[in-house]
Amino acid sequence: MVVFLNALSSSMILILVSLGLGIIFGQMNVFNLAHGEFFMLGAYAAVITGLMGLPPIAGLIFAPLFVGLIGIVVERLLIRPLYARPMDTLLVTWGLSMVLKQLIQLIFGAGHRNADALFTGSMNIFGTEYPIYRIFIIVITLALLGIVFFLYFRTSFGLKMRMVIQNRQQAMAMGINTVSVDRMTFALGSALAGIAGAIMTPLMFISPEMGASYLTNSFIVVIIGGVSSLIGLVGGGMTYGIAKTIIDFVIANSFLTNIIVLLLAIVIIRLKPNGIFTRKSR
Amino acid sequence: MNSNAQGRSRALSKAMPLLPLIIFLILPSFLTGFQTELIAKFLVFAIVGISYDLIWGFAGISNFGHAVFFGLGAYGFGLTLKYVHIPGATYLAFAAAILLPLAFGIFLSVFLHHGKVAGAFFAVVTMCLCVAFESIASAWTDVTGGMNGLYGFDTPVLGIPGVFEIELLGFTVPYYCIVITLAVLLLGLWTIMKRRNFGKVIAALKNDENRLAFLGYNVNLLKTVIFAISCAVAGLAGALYVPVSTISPSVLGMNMSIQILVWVAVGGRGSLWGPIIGALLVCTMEQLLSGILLDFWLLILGVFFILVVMFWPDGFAGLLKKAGSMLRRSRSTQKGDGHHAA
Amino acid sequence: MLLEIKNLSKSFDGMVAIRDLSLSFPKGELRCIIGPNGSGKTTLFNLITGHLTPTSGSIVYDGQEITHMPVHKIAGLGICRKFQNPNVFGEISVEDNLRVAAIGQQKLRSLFRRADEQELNQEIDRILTKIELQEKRDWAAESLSHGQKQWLEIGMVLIKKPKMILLDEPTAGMTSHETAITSELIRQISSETTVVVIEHDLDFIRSLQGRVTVLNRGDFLAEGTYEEIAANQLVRDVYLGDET
Repeated sequence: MVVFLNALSSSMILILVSLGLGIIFGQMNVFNLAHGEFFMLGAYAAVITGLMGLPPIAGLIFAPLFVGLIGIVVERLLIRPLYARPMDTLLVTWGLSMVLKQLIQLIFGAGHRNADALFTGSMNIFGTEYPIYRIFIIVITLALLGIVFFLYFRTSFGLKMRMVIQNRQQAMAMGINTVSVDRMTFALGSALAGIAGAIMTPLMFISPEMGASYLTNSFIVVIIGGVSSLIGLVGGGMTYGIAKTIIDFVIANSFLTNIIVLLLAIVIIRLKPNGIFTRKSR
Repeated sequence: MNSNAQGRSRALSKAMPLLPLIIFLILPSFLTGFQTELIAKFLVFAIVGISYDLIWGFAGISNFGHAVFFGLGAYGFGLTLKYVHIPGATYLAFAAAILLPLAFGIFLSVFLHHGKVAGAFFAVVTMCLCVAFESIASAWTDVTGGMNGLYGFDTPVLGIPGVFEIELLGFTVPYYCIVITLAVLLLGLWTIMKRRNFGKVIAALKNDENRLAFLGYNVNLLKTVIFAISCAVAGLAGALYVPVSTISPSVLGMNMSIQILVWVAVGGRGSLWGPIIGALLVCTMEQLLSGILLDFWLLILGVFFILVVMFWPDGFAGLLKKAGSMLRRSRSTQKGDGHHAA
Repeated sequence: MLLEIKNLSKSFDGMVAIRDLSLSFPKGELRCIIGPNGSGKTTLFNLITGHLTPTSGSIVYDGQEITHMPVHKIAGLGICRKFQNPNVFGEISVEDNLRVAAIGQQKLRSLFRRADEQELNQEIDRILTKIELQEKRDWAAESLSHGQKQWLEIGMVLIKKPKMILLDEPTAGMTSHETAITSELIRQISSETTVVVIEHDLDFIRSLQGRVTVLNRGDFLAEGTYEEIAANQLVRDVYLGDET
């Protein structure tokens, strides 16, 4: 049961981060290689609010807004000008990831930090004691996913997003401002990474390097889950997270686990470049 | 413009490439031993940069894990020397340094390209592989010595065993000569390839691979050939790195991959001298500034890199080329207003 | 007869694109295929080159049944197609575009030959003269005008010495001056190869002085010289109300 709940909670966070990466890629064909750093920035945002003496809830609110704003600036300054050069966009976001890591290192130092949790203690789930915070993670990520899905499928903005993904030219011809849709999507994707980072602060060592593994893992989830379907992403994240936890449990050597999972993922990418969960279109 | 002046400027442009060679040969007499060793190290970096530019600037394939091939060369070299104790083992070690990354590179290219994994996907997959290799090298302490690095291998020795021997440990004159020779050979190879049909076809591949496939070319085969050459050269550079440095997991890691990419981007991708200029420039700057501004150095490099990618894709080499052609144009009449192909 | 189309039909999910079409293309002829939009012209090309397979009927090329052959095999038999939009390698020079096209079907060995080889160079010069781009041979292909790009692409088709060339709306987007040059170019080409042209521009068709086949809604309508077609009442009825 504990293993299951651990798998669930870490999968949920991964899904959240991957969702951010995925909606950006699906919309704009851009892999933001600084996405892991956006996660990290969210965590540091929570650290800042903690240092200012505010309760942890403030961090959870401040982080997505802060990182979302940074996302808007980045899109405006770095991504949009390189619209015609998608491979160079990859490079630029890689450079950005370097810059962000260094900036944070300069301001906060390279060492680890800790932050307070919103909830402490444990509660009783189906007969076992389990930390409340992890339950909280599951609950809040579900809520956030719900919000994103609602946004995507039930609002006019979501409709615009879907139209641009389907056929950008047509959407433009119908008067949709694709530039602002792109910008908002980028902001949304970044904010998702940011809030994920803030949520994870009590459970991780907070350092400038903390986002790196989230980048590689969410990239794999996006590929496995398919780039054109939100549900596929969730499914992919679930599968990946659970598989990872099981393998970790069985092998009990974190180095080896990472390697095996990575290599398995690459094989899957090769066999099914469109993801396992997407339906064949037309 | 009279033919004399034309002939003179043509001779001058042919002599130009020899100039850096002469500079490098004379340089050691003006510098300290330590500085010359650095130059040699930077030249090895330049060589791996050239290998990267072969796939990136020349063929247009983005690869974010190139250090893997460099590192496999280094580890291959070291491991052979550690476990093979026969005369002439050094030659075997060089062979291993080339074959190991070559085999892996061919496998990777065939595996991915034939599976239609290309472009951004290919790039990020190579990035993940790089991370994986760094982990493996750190964790597999029995074989690789883990985080401490690979030690305890024989001194690499060239020459004919028993007749005369040239040691390659640490920095020596023979070492310097070998590195320079290799760099010159590579530049020669690059120039020849560009002039042959192969070069034109690869340029077309970079431009529009679907169109090329439509003309009847086997695009995957072409990509694999270029990838193979690139990996072999990277592996050789890795072997040459061993005498002047330690073999540790960082040699195959993301940091190294990023460095390689930065050198080539700053120096000018797709150009002959770009990787060399980039490697020498960036490494020298790092050496000079690391004392004063170590913390800021990476930040500055990152920002500079972003600026180069955005506004200056031709890098320093592009700048030099423009200066060169401006000089030439000022002496002859303009022909038409179309721009000339690279 | 170089190409024979017998009772060819093609339908897509119930929509009939080509209906029981029979055509013959003698060797060395210059043929124009015209017809209103949707008459099945491009579908016909797609069927010939193997990009589509017919629902029924057969296509026989040089005595060989090619109805169900894959695209690259048909291309290998000498049928070359030029698509509507210019599709050249913008970043390399005009000359190199021709070079790359020329060595396309050759063995791997030829890749390592020197790029200034005698025979190939002469061939390139010849084509460059034909398409009137000798002066621009060093230019990057993307700096050519639209019409010049089309000619370059025609040159890239020619240099492969095809037995049959299919040109899909070669004058689309051209100025009238460029169209006139293209007409001359195509007439010259047809002395060396069999050429089939799909076009909308009727003045251009007339200037080609070739045989004209008219399709309408997937059916064969008429065939003859331009003058005969222009005088044909059926054809006029079909074109009335259509933009020319």
